[in-house]
Amino acid sequence: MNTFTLGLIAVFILILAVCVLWDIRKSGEFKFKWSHSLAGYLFMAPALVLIVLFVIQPIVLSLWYGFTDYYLLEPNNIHYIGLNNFSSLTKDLSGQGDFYHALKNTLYFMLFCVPLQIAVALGLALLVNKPRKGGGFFKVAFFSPVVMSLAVTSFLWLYMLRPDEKGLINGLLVKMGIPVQGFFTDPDQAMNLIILLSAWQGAGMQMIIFLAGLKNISRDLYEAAQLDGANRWKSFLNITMPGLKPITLFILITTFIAASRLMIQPMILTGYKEFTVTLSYLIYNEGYVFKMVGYASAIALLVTVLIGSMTLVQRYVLREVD
Amino acid sequence: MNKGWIGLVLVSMVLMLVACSGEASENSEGSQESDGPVKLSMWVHVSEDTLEGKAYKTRAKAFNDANVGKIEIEVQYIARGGGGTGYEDKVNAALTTSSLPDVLTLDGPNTGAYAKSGILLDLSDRLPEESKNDFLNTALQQGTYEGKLYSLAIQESTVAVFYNKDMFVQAGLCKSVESCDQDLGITVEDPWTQDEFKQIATTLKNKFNKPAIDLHLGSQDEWVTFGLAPFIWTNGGELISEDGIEVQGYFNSENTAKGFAFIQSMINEGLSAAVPEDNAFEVGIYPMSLSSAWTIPLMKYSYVDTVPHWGVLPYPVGESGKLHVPTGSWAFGVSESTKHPEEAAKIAEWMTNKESTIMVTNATGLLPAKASAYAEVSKYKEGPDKLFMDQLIAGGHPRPNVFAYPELTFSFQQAIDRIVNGKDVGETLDQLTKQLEVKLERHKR
Repeated sequence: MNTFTLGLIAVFILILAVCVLWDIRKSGEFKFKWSHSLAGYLFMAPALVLIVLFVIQPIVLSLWYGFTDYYLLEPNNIHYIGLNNFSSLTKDLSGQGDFYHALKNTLYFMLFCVPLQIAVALGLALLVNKPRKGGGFFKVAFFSPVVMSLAVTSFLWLYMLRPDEKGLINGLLVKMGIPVQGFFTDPDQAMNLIILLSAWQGAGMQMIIFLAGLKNISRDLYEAAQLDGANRWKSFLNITMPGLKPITLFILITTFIAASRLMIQPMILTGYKEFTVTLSYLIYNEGYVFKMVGYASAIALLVTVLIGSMTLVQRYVLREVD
Repeated sequence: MNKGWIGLVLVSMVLMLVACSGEASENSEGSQESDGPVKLSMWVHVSEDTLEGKAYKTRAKAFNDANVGKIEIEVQYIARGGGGTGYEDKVNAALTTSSLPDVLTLDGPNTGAYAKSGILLDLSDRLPEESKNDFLNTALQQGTYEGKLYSLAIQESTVAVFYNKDMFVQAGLCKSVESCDQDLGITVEDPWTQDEFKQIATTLKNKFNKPAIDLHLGSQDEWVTFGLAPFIWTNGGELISEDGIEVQGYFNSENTAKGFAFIQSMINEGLSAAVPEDNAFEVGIYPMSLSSAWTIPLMKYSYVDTVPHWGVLPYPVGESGKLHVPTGSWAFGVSESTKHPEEAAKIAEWMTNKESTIMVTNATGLLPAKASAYAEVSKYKEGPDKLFMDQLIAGGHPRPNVFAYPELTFSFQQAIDRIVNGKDVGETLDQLTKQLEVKLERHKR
């Protein structure tokens, strides 16, 4: 039995022990009902085992690896190296290396994609909220990109936006007398296109959540406003917006976190390029292509702290909403 | 004792049992049965239904038939995805769980990294001398790290310039398609200089109003280093020191910059395109293409209608006046952790022997890695295959066999990316050299 398995069992026992102690404390000192609790633990066990294996263990390991020189080719030769990985990161940042580009691109993506996606989602939700003929069709149509795999839609866009006359869009542009565009091969266009089609693909999900929020706003309020002489814009501003605030915070945070994990689109649409590489893509590249697992874990750790604190700031700024 | 604790102990005991039994079943998969043959596992990087996969299958079967009752290979086919995914992911995963097969294929330039980390078995003394000496020099160089032989090349490959004879005739560069090779007079013994190459390219560009050569700059993979690094070497440049530790003064040396500057000038003067049209040479849009021998079967069978008359010219020569062409392909290695090193080495040798290399190169269109195979196969006596082979022997220059090759080739691709997009060559190289130094530092342990 290797140390890995032993460690795993130790973590598992620890969690179970905490559960049991909690249970004992709750049920009053030493009035623990064995027959009641056993069933509970057995029901919990499958989920607990999976969570420990696939969630807790990787998190704990990557926390540890961030402070080591773990090189994928030498898994039995791992040393603690303190903060070396992080000082290497700062060197990379100051030399405008890979981390610099990844950070810049990810922030750029989040800055533009999140508001755009939320605005599109809200717009679509308002559009399909009013009962109209064929409204169901549009709901499905707007939601359908969410169901498709990112890889599939990325390939579709890749073919439509080919950088030569054979591409669908470029073919049309040429017919209209506009020169062939580089699209994903053009450093100035690639990231913006990725933002556009990420927003297109993701907005459907937020649209559904917004719709749920809209349905929750009482119709009476609108009627009352109408009686008071409020126009549609005023109703939107004073009834719809405040009514949607709590749900907007939820959407903002989830979209923000999803945006920070962008990887598949740049990977398929441009490959590793300085103008589209993102933090997740960089972590993959450092860990699997260069095989520097320790360094990649350090980046992951830093990114977690970064995104976590940004989320906290968001929550703080919008706290009244809650 | 409290009943809760009894439950806890029980659950943990069950868990331990599960964990132990997992371990036990792993061991029982051991490769030697009491009487039967020694069973060894082998991984290859192509899927079973490709021509190359079938060639490995046939050769593995032939080995099993020749060693009935003694050794048996079981081959697992794991296709390689774009950018070395798929197969390499599987190898990476196997490394972390110590479950590498006995014999495996690896891309030649990975030899250094794998050897340094002690993954590969030193095969120097495990091969018969005549088998070792039969390998082409370039193949031996690629498989050698710090003086020891770690990987055996399956095949060799190199890069040359394919040209469309009809377009050359139209541009007045040769009299007729039949006499084009003689008219041009560009041979491996007397190759063209970069200036001559550029002159011809300019004539073609002016005639057809299209880029003259497809350098495949749009590709996202190892091609960029494989295909374009000779422009650096032939100008006297280097990418990294021989020990693989220093890049300052190599990656950004004056001569290295000359090579990159040449590539940039090809783009700036419209002689090549940063984003070439798809299969531009094969469908007859560009008159030339820098490509490897894998293009030969394509031109012979798939593009007969679009480009009926084509030929191959050697790689242009830079300021050093010496022909430098890339080499290298995939190779077989034996895992250090194998329980049967002798038998595994035997398999690796078999999979790269004369018969194997002939069969595999027939499937891939690439070049044999063994001198005896080269001498035996008639297609290397004339035509494009001969030029490829002659070039490989005259100017073969393996890519640096260093442990940080992934980082090096990555930086090379970044450099090409930047300079074809108009960035200053000197500045780009200095910046990337600094970044590469930081990356190399991370390898210090």
